[in-house]
Amino acid sequence: MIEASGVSVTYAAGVQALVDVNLRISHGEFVFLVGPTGSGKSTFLKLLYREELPTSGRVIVDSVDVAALRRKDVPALRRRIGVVFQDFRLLPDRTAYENVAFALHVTGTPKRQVRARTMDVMERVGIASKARFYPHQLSGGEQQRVSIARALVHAPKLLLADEPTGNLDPDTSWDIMRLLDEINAGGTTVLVATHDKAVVDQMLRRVICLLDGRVVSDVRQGRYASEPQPA
Amino acid sequence: MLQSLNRLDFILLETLRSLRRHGLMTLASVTTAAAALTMLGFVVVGAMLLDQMSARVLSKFETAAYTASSITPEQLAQLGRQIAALPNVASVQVITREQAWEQQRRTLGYIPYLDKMKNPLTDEVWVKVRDPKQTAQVAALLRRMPGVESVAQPSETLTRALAAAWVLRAVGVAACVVLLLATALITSNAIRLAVFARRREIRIMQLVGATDSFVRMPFLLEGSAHGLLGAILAYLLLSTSLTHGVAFVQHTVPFLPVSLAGTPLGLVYVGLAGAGGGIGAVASAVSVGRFLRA
Repeated sequence: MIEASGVSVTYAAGVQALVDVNLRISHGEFVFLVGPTGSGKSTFLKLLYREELPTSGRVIVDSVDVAALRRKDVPALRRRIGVVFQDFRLLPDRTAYENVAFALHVTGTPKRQVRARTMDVMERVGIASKARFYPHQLSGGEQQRVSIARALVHAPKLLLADEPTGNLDPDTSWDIMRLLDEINAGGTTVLVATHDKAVVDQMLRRVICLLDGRVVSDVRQGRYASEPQPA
Repeated sequence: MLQSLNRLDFILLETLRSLRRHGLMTLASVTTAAAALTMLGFVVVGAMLLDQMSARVLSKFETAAYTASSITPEQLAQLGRQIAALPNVASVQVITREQAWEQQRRTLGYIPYLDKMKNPLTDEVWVKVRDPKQTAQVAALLRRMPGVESVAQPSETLTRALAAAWVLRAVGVAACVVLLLATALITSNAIRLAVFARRREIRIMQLVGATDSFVRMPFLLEGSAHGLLGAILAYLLLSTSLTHGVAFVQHTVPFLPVSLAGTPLGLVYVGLAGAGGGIGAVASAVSVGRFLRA
């Protein structure tokens, strides 16, 4: 599903966000990407949905060489990838329903499909009853559910979550993680960047640890950086 | 096609949403467009009227040679042929004094006892020169020909006045260019603000896989809407002031052959709408394009 070989990202100021990253993530996996702030987790996710381009190396997502993608082909890639953020990124002047439907509208989905698909995915993430609410009327956990619904509405093969529980209390964090787990059980590959130690330790999934842009450990059924060892 | 129709109402709603949100900037952009397009309209219509006028005035003041009244019809025909053979003469029209009188009586028919008068006119030869600049030379040649009693040529002042009007037209064109550029800049700025205000929406659109052209569309429509609204204002301004202006000129300077009858005004208005919409669309395409590639 994801294959990174020799990937480095260097910013203009000479800051190295990622250094020679080599990773393979198979279809259907659930993977945590952990590491302290600034270790390159977000940069790695951004490479996958082509928000960033690697300075060197190759990134393959769902058999697509992301860096070689032409600008006009980027939307097609993005429709196969759902992305969720710490700050939800919902549009404040639209209801929960409209926020989810927005992703369908702007990709030219036939109108008669929009309602059914939107309600279906909102049902799945357990937020259908709040469809008419505006983001400010929803709790953090509910807002994150709306954003997950939006990410899933194109039925992506890959779901990326950048600190999805960063703004949530522990109980709510658990609810969201269980939801991501269910989504993964449905066949979607899930990659979660987080530094939520409690969550990672209880889920016992594959854990890739980044430190200063390098992969320092990659453990099946791992815990949160049980002392990051130089790889 | 069906798919794009399907998107249309969504895109239109987005456009309206944005127009409403940026009232003041929209106002600035629409009024500049209106000013520029009104100016453009005046220049275009003015040039058309000028063209018409100079055509009429100049043709009216073709060089004419009036003959001595003692000339016989044979001599007149002979004179006509001689004049036609002169260098720089394009065409010649011979009008006998009877024909001239007949025409005069028709146009001045309201004057009583005219038909009881003796014909006071002479034979006329109307001469069209190839190039207006050679009028004086041709006139000099005509004066020296036997049988020619007098020669009339276009008034200098009138020719000069027309030349001055053409200079005025050039100034108008320059002013138009400046105003249209201003329109483009202000519209582009208005759209840039609109884009900036909607940057979060745009980022999300891009995130969920909207195409660039989809993202661009509402802004292009918004920019064209500014231009079109400007064109509508310009139309209102132009049509009222043209009607009143021309009526005023006809009333105060009745000998000036000004009339809107021969001017394709409808075409001008359609052209203004096209120019407004086009400038708006291009200006916003530039603004959105910059943002999308950033």
